[in-house]
Amino acid sequence: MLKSSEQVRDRVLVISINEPRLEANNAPLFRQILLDRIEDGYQQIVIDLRNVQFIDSSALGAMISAVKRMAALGSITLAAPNAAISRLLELTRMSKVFPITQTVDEAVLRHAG
Amino acid sequence: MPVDLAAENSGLHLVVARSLDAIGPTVMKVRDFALAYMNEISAAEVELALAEVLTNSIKHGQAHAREGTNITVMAEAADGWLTVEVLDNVPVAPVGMFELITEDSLDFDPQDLESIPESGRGLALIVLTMDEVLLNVVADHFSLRMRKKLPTH
Repeated sequence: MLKSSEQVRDRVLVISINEPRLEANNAPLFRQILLDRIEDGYQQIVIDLRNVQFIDSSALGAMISAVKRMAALGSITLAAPNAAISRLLELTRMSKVFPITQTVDEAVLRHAG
Repeated sequence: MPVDLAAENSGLHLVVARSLDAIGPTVMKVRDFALAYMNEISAAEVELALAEVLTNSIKHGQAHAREGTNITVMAEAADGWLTVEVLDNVPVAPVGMFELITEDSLDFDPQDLESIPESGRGLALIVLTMDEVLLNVVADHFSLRMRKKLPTH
């Protein structure tokens, strides 16, 4: 079970991850949540990382899997990563794949606009 | 939870069960130890590198049917370096792989989504977040030593 909550704002699905860590033991659940929502037809998704303190390469893999599934159908934005997660996203060049915003509001605006 | 066998303040000596659930508590303990010597971003890099090593070790251990065995993690700060050593009886990484990793190892073509790998970043992250990585193999014993320079004051 991965603690998360979801909210639709301006037709944008915001998935808030309420786990402090996304790593090898819960990355498969994280991946499944993302793929399920894409299968449900959501084309604008924001992953709210406000409450996440740590991400490893397994969790990155889950997000890449989701963005590949989404492909041209829509887009996925990563919102509010902390400094350590931002450093990981920069090291792994993820900013070339995902828009990254400092806040969830900014991400929703970006999708809704 | 990892068991700490080290005397207080002399470093860490953790015995870690071969379970993915053991990774979080272990790496947080090492990060907290590192935080006494370096800033949060550097300590988080140590945490990430160790998480990647342990994930590899545990997954390889499952593949080698070594579920019942433990992994040892040691950390110390001395002579201007923070050193984290992981001891295991299965390969923590393929021999010779670390030497092949460069700054470009994580590059990909962002225009070609399908070509972006979903896994395989762990070893590169270990090398790119630590200042030195050395894998020692003697018979069935694997030792991965990672070092990060401590800030000078």
